Amino acid sequence: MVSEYNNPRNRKFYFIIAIIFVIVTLIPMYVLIIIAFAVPSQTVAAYYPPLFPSQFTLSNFIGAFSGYSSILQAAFIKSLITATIVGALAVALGFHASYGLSKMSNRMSALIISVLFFSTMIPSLTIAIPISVSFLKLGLYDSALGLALAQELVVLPMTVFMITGTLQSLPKQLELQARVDGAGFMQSLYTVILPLAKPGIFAAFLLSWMMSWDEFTFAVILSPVHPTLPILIYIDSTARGNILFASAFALLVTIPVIIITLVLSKFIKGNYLTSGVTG
Amino acid sequence: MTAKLELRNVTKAYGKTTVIKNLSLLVEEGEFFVILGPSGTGKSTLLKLIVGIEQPTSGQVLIDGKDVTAMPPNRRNLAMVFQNYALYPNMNVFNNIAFPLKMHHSGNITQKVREVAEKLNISEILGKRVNQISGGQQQRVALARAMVRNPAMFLLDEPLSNLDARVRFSARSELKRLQQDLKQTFVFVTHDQKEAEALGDRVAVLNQGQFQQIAPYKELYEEPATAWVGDFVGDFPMNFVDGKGFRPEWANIGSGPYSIIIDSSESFGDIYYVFGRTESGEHIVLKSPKLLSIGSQLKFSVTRFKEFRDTPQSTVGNV
Repeated sequence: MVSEYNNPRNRKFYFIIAIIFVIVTLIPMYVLIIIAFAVPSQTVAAYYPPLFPSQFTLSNFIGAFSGYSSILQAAFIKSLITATIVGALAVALGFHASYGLSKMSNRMSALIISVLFFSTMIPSLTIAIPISVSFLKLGLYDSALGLALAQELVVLPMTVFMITGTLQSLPKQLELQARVDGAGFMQSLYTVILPLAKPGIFAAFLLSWMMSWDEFTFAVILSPVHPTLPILIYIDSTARGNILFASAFALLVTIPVIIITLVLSKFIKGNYLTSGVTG
Repeated sequence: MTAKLELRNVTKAYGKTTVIKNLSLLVEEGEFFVILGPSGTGKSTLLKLIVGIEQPTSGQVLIDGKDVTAMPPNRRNLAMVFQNYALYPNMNVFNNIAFPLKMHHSGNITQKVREVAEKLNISEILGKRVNQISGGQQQRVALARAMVRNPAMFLLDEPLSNLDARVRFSARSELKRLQQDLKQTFVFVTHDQKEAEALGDRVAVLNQGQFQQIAPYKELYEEPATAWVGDFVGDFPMNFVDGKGFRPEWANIGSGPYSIIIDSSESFGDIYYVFGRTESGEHIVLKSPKLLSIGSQLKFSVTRFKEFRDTPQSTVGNV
């Protein structure tokens, strides 16, 4: 593909834009890191904190863990379970819904997907309260499963949107070929279409996992007794007023996200979709 | 295993558009049957109806006398090769060929795949990904996948059209040899005259969802049933003077009752094709052993005419 992307001048331009984008994204991260690792006199206790602190300490982490390690662990596990249920359920439901949508005319599927997004237009707070009442009756209140089901409201439209796009981009003949080659409807769905949709499915899983991981509104209302990590950090930095410990927590929160992104990223960059189908 | 194919009054409509109009057809066992037609005339739709991916609006599809119209494609035991080969990109060559065997729970998969790969000369690439092999190899892999489970019939949708001219030529003769070897029924769809001529035991000319004529290619050329077929079949459309058709080979140049003014000429090996117009403006193609100058007058006589009931209309726009 000879395009303007390969023009050296344009490449320099894109490079500069990318650097600016990275800086904007990383500055908050940098601030978080120095608050977590530098001595307080150079960060939160200073009137004019230096951009590059010179004295470092692990006392924030030690303090955070020695005081709250069991709460932290519980919150971590709760977040992990919730996010994994959200991701798995979103992908399992989303794939089948998307397959149906991909068989419809573009106009029809676009209409249905925009209707799905209605649920995300309503503020979470508005739905969280009636949900909490129902969950109390159903015994789902304060449980990981209940929280995951509520978060699904926000996540599922996104997942369906993403996977539908992937399925629509698959060459139609592959499914027809599978049927002719002897695959039943379900077989062709799971042995041919599902593997081909992997990049979209992993991307959707990753995104819904991360959306759940730092979801706040549903979590604070539906699971306040045994909180998830974002809620715990919030309680620490505001109610307990210890921003130092909270920074240490916050940094820990990002580590699983980085790990899962690295693990799944190789599945997401699938450019093999149309190979073997010439013309 | 080989099978007979029969279509009875098959019609296929999408909404208001009727793509296939009341077609009936009988393909004999072991026949290499070619469906020839301009693009957009329902050739591929017809294959999809036979294979069961599409359902006819009315009419029946019979395989070996058995009505399979309502049978899903996976139970018809047919093999199909799509124009773009539709190789599964997530599997390597071996698994592509093995896929139909796995779906049919057949035994000895490894042995069967190796045998068919050997026959088609693709044993070396069995471990490769399908995007690592050439177009010609992809076509063989698609054929191997079709052959591997010994289907009742082969349906091929322009399988040669994505190949380079040179590979296409050898693939064509190979395909013919393969069919004679397997003695199986092939239904082959194409818009390419040369392929129809080289491959087909019989050729069905399809236009706007209807068969114009079903005959060996030579007969289509010599004895077209309609002016449309005369116009469509052949390297050049049939010539018409006074509403009667003739081929360039049926004319003698030099003297005669007809004459044209020469517009252009093209060399084809050791002869020339001469393009010109009569006084009344009809386009004529003639053969000449030597180069003739443009703008000059050429007299000719015609040894034989073909008369049609329908009026000639140009197919050039459709091709």
